[in-house]
Formats: sequence, structure tokens, C-alpha cells
Amino acid sequence: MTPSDFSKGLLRSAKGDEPLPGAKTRAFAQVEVALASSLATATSSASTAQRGGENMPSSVAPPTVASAASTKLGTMLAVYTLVGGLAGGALGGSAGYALGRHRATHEPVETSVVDRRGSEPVYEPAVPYRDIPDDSTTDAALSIAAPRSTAAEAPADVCASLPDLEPKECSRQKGKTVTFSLRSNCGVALDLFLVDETCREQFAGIVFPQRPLLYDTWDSNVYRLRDRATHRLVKEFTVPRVDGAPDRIANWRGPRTQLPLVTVSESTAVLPEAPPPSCLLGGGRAATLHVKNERANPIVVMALDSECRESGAWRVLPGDSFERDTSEGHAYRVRDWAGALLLEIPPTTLDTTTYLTVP
Amino acid sequence: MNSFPQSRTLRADATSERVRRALDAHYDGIWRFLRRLGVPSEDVEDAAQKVFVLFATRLGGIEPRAERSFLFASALRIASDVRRSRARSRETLSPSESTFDALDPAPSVEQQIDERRMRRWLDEVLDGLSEEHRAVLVLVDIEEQTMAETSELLGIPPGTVASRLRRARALFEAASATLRARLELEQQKEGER
Repeated sequence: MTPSDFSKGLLRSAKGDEPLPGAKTRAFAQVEVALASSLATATSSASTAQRGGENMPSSVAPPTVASAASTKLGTMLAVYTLVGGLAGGALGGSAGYALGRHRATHEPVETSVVDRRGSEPVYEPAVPYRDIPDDSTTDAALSIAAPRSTAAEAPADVCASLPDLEPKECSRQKGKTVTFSLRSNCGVALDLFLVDETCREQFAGIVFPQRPLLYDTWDSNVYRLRDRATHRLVKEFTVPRVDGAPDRIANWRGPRTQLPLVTVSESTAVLPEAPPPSCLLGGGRAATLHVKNERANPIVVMALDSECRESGAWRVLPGDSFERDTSEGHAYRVRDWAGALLLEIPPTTLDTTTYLTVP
Repeated sequence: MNSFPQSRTLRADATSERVRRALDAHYDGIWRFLRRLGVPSEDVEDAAQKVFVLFATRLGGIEPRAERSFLFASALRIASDVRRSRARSRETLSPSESTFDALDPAPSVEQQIDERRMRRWLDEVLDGLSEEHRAVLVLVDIEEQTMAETSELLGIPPGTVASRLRRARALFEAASATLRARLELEQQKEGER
């Protein structure tokens, strides 16, 4: 049987499906926790067997779980901030800060640099920059990295449950485009669902406490937020447009703005480390960013996400030019090879994002 | 001095290194495989983690050349478990793909939505296949594995792969034709309104 074009198209569409940014790192962290747990069990039973009921001096006693695990974690997971706390918490029997089921709560300290060519530096931190691949990487589009707050800092859950009735209305997937930023003050991670045209809930992302999530959608679309662990309904909402917000689709169909060429030379002075003037904004027309490196050493162009974190990194070799299709709403920074800040490239559009807060 | 702690840690290091290599090589494929086997998008990352945790805890008994087939076989079982537990706990929830648009500017919003819709439809069609047909079709026609590789990954004879694939393709074609007809009808109705 010859497959129809439609069938071929369906099968082809699967190719573009990819894990969310950072998924591999989270899986590795989860494996580390599991290994630490099994190490703990083995150490504990071996220790009991060795002691044979006698008192053993502390100087020759087998290491505690934490110290055995930390040797491993120290070498393999130097890029994670929360591993020690999480592994310790989990092994110590503490419930810890549950972001949802067994999902790991680790996050790289710095920008995640992913070598998509499949070579080694997948789990390396952003600095030093010499390990950054030449080709583009991005972790910025939809960051689901866990929040930096620890269990002790986690806010109390202030989000009440709503009666879990049928949605009042379904999405129409029409209307005007809107960009929204959703911040949750709930103490637990929430699942964001789109109530689709048939009123079924389609998973759309994870909203971590105090970590805004930026989305493009239509103003006719209906969303629901549910507690990630218990699935209780927390909120149902549509997204109003800010007056004067551009039509995203029209923007993208329109001519691409050529942003002014940014030239980085030896005379480009180092800037003091300070928060960037602006983070990534929603909206804005399609644009092309041009950066030229006239220095003797490579430079690094870094994309900022909606929380001003440096989330993508591209190395530009001496004498090379860097070009990237982007949006007028996106913000970038340029750093030198040693990591010093050289330039800020702020968005060139007005902020027309709709800001929503839960509850 | 007790040598136990050091040897234990060294073994853990080697294990982690092997897991890391396996993650680098196979995570994306396993993730896509789980997704196309009908694991809902909100659960697929958890399911992929389970696959690799299982792999890590049983690493001692897995030959290096059998890693891939262990991972895919585990994914098949875990996908089946996830689907069953989802059917029990959240009957109203569809396993389909979300239709939101990521913020990254390329490709265009419209194009992204088209792709996501296509994947939703793909999952709808795949949902109509049995587990065994679905697994073979996904591995051969989506993950582009050869029939020999699929046979090895699923632990079934090549002849069985061939016959399942033939049947799966026929079922897929029929279901996608039905879907297409339904979509055209909906479009027609929409136009008349």
C-alpha cells in the first residue's frame, strides 16, 4: 500500500517533537538520586554485615550516605545547585520540596550549554566559554528548570481549589494573538492545560512557583491550571490583550527588521556586571541580529530569557560574523572569552505582554 | 583502613559515566518513542526518567551492546504502565499534544501550530493501533530503525516484525484516511457557517 501524502505528513510531524529544554539534565539528576539511594542501601547493609554487632571506631566506619554520594556528586554534578539538598533530603526521609511526582529539582548554576552535535560537553556549565559549541544552542524558549528556592524557602500553598466542573467555554484557536507571562504564587508546581476546541484539556507546560512562564497564544483560548501532584483545579482563565499589542502572525509575515550591526572590537570596554536593562519581551516583529567579532579572541553572544537569565550561547570566532533570526522583543548580551560583559543588546519593541498572576 | 567506601564510590562513578553516555545517545529517541507510544506529553519526561533509572539500577546485568534494546524494551513496558494508570486516574485527559506556541521565533507561530496539530492527529491515529502494531510502526516509520534493529529492540523475530509492520501500515493508512475525511468535513461545515 502506498502511503498518502497526508499519512506521510503525519509521520513526518513526529520528527519535530523534542523533549523540553533541560530534560536530559533532569533525567541524569534523577538517576544520580536513584544511584545514591541504592548506594545507601548497599552501604548500610554492608556496614551492618561488617560490624557484626560490634562497636566500630568512627575513623574506620563506612561513610554515611551523604559522604559517599557527595564524592560522586561532587565530581559529576558540580553544575547542580540543589543536588546535595535534594539527595540529602530524599535519603534522610524528608519529603523535601515536591515539584511533582519524582521529577528532579536540579538546575544548572549557570547557563545550560548543550552540544547538540553529540560530543561531550552536554552537562558542562557555561563558564569557561571555550567549551561552548560554534553552532547555536538555546534553552530559552520554554524554560522548565526548577526554581532556585530550597524547600525551606518554598512559599506556603496559597492556591485554593476550584470546583472541578466542565470548562465554561472551549478555546476557539482564533482571534488575536496575545503573549502572556504567568507567575504563580502557589507553593506547588502547576500544570498548565489548554482547553482545546473540543473542550478537552491539553497539557501545555509546567508553572513553577515564582517562576514566570511566557507564552504566545490567541485571546480566544481557554487555559486551566492544576496542581501538578494532585491534579486539583486551581484556575481557569482566558488571556486579555494589552491595548496596542501587535498581531504576532502579521508581524512574522511582515518584513524582517534588520537590527543594526553590533561590532565588538578590542576597544569595546568591559561593562560592570549588573542586571540587564531588559529581559526577553513577548511580541515584536521578526528581526535579524548581526554581530561582528573584530577582537583577537572569540566572543560569546548570549540570549536572555524572560527572567533575564543567560539561556542560549553562541560562540563567534575572531573575524567572524554572527547572524540569528530573532524577534525585536528578544534581548542579548555579549561576553568576552573570559566571561567579562562587553555589550547589552536590549529589545527594540514595547512590552505588550499580558501579565497574569495566580491566585 | 577500610577499602570498602572507595571501591564502592569508584563503581558508582563508572556507573554514572555509563548512564550519562546512554542518556546522551538515547534520551531523545526514548522520549520520542514513549511519546508516540501514547504517553501523554505531561508524563513523558517522568516516563523517560523511569526508563533511565531502571537502566541505571540494573546496569550490572546489561551488556554494553544490549543497552539500546534494554532501553527500548523498558520504554515499551513503562509506556504501557503509564497508559494503563492514566486510563484509571484521569479518564478525561487526552494524550494529545499541546497546541501552545513556544516563544522562540523560528519557525513562525502558524507553522508551529500546524506541526503541533499534525502531531495531535498523528497520536490520534496511532491511538487506534494495538500496542504491538504501534511499537513496530513507530520504530520503523518514525524512528527509522531497520526491521533487523526493530526485531532486536523488541525481542521478536524479524518475520513477526515484517508482518506486524505490514498490518500496522495498512491500519495507519486507513485511520489517517478516515481522519482526513473527518477534517475535510469539519472544514466544509466551518465554511458554510
